Amino acid sequence: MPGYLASRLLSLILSLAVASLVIFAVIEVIPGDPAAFMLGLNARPDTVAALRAELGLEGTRPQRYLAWVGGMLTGDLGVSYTYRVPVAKLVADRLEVSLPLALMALALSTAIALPVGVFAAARRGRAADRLAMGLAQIGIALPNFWFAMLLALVFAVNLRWVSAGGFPGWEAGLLPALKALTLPAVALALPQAAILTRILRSSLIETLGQDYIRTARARGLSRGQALRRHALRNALIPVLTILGLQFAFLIAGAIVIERVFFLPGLGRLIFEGITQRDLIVVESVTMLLVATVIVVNFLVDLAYVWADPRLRRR
Amino acid sequence: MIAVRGLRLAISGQPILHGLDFGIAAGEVFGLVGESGSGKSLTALALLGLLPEGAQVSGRALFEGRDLLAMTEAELCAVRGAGIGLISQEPMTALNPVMTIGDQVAETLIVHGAARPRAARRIAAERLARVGLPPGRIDPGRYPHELSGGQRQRVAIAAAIAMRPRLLIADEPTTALDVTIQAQILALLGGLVREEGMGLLLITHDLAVVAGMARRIAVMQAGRIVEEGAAEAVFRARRHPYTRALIAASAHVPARRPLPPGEVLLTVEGAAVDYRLPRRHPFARAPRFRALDRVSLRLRAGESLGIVGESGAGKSTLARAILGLEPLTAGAIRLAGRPVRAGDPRMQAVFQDPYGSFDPRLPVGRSLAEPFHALGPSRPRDGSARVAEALAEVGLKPGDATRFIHEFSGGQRQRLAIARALIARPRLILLDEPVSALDVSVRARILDLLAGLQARHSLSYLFITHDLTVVRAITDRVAVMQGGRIVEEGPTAEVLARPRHDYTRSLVASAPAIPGDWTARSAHA
Repeated sequence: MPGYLASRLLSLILSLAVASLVIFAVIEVIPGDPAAFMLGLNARPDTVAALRAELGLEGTRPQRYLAWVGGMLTGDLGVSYTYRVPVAKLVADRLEVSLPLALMALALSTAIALPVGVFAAARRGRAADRLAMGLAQIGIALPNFWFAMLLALVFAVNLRWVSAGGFPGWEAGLLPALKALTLPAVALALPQAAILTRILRSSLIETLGQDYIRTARARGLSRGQALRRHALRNALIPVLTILGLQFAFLIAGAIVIERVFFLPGLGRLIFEGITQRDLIVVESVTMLLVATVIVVNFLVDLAYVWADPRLRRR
Repeated sequence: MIAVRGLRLAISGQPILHGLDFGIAAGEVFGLVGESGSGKSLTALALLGLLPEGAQVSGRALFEGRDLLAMTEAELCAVRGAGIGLISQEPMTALNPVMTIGDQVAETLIVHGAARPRAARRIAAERLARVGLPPGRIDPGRYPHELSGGQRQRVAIAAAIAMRPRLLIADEPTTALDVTIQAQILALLGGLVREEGMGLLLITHDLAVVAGMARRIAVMQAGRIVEEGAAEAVFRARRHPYTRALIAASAHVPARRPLPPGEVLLTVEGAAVDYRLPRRHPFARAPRFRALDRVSLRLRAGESLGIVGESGAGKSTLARAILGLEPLTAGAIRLAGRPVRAGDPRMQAVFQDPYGSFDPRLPVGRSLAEPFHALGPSRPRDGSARVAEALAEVGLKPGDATRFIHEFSGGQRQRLAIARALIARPRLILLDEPVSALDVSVRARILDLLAGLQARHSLSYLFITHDLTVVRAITDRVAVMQGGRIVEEGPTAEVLARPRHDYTRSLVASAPAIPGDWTARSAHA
């Protein structure tokens, strides 16, 4: 177990270092002067020079790399050129929306997938299973923004239960903020739940064919008891992998949904950074997202250890 | 205690069991013997109501007066584990890998409402101690993967007997285990029957195992019980031709004339192989495990040498090293004077599972011709003629070359593997458990085939097996391996009759055997 942990931790640190080098190198190899690129063709030379200093483009490459990494480690992500505020503050503001949204969507998709997947696996091949799998197929095939528009149409426009978009901020109170995030979270969760349901069902069906399930049944466990007590935890390992990948996607990949519901999320920040050529924002936020993916994968590795005692030996 | 009357079973309309009648009394061991496909295991599953979907059962199975076949699922759940316990063949997969062994034993008590969790765990520890896993030695908080195969089978037994069932069904309980472990598990089962007065339905393909354990036996063939009676009487009388064939095959010794000793073909001198183990932490040096520890042996042309030992003794490592597939840490292995190398056509191998060694998408003739590629430019021009010749040698037809591997039975597949070994005209064939997966009647014919081929081509055999009857039947000399070393070596008959090393002695003593006078030829009934 300590060996496994140490090796996972080492791989976490190495991945972060490599990712930061790659992101830094990509910004470096973009032809031309980033400052001139950001300011456009008509910029005055002294403005460009000022921006160069501000961007930290002075000094050798190793110096600049270390300054950038050192800044990130101390929470200094630089100052956005377009917004004129520290990138750290921008990111923090956007995370207030994106993080709760991602967590809500993840919790919702798990809450849908777990019972439906178990239900379908337990009734494999029967009408209920075929219905659930048909719905899952539709859920995977339809894009999430289509769900988003449908939900907005039904619950905001027709029923008027919630507003069709915008985010009042957490200052407005917990309930209004959660209300504003509910429809986007549902729209994000549905396709994810469909994928998760299928993975859980096929993993469970495979597990239910194992010898130890028959042994458990021979000891007097009913079909349902054998499934709950023996099959479920064994079937969870591939599901954990998918959950980790989905969370990473939800943090940054919600951009389409954010646009549909006019949410000031992280995805939109990157999109705006790119269109406005704000390389400081792009570079730092990209690194932050990569770090999130790597850390989430590390947490998934830890979850494997919880789910599978065979990993604890190493 | 249990009385089965006219048990019939069909799966998807295909009849499997054709009306079985048998009964087991309390405290009795009843042996159900038969070859694969005879329906033994399905009989056990039918009694427990655990048949696959699409199964139709008829007949009656009265357990303590109630018909198991007429019970509802809920009634069956109450009987399974409490009235009837089941032990299955594969200890490696029969336990849940993510649950501690103590919890798995305790679960039997909890689901039957016999104890609350705390009390159940205490009883579980007692039952584990009863099967030879006292908490002081094996903590009930350990997981199955931390235990050996024999220990896992003990856990499975503890879980099956936790509720003290009146009937225990053991389906090939020792087939996957080493012979000394098999003896211990059989002794444990015998002790449980005596102490707790359980009935035991012992299902096995191994006549020697039932001969030592069962009071009464039934011989099954193709879904029917062809002969039933007291164990000794069945062995002595052998009324049914199938019983006669089965007993004859299990004791079959192919006719072999020892060849005059030829020149030394293979020499192994002080061969050692180390394996790297996973590192304890990322910067540690990987620890090493010595799988083969300075082994030396010689094999002459036309001679058969048996290598016996239990799993982990280093037999397979030795085989791979001889085939040139395992780099040596120390020592040397020479074939006809030169160091062995992988792909040498003079040396071929036959493994336990021939199915896995044939490409399922190629006609077998193509697979058989594969060793020719190793010959390079000296590849024979008459490739297909050689394939036909090799098929004829192993008793198959030349036309079989165009068929695919899944169209052949287990015995035929092993014949194909032997044909593939023969095609390069080798001098040495390495046989790694070549008959272990085969039924006794098929095994007898394959042993005959191997003996005949050896005489015709003065082949040398290196016969790796855990089965002493096979060693006795086909080898001239035997080397006994333990912990990566050869602990005893000598002429087969002498080593098996008068073993000198303690380990060999326990191996010979553990091997189940049919009492000699039961099968004596003088028995006319």
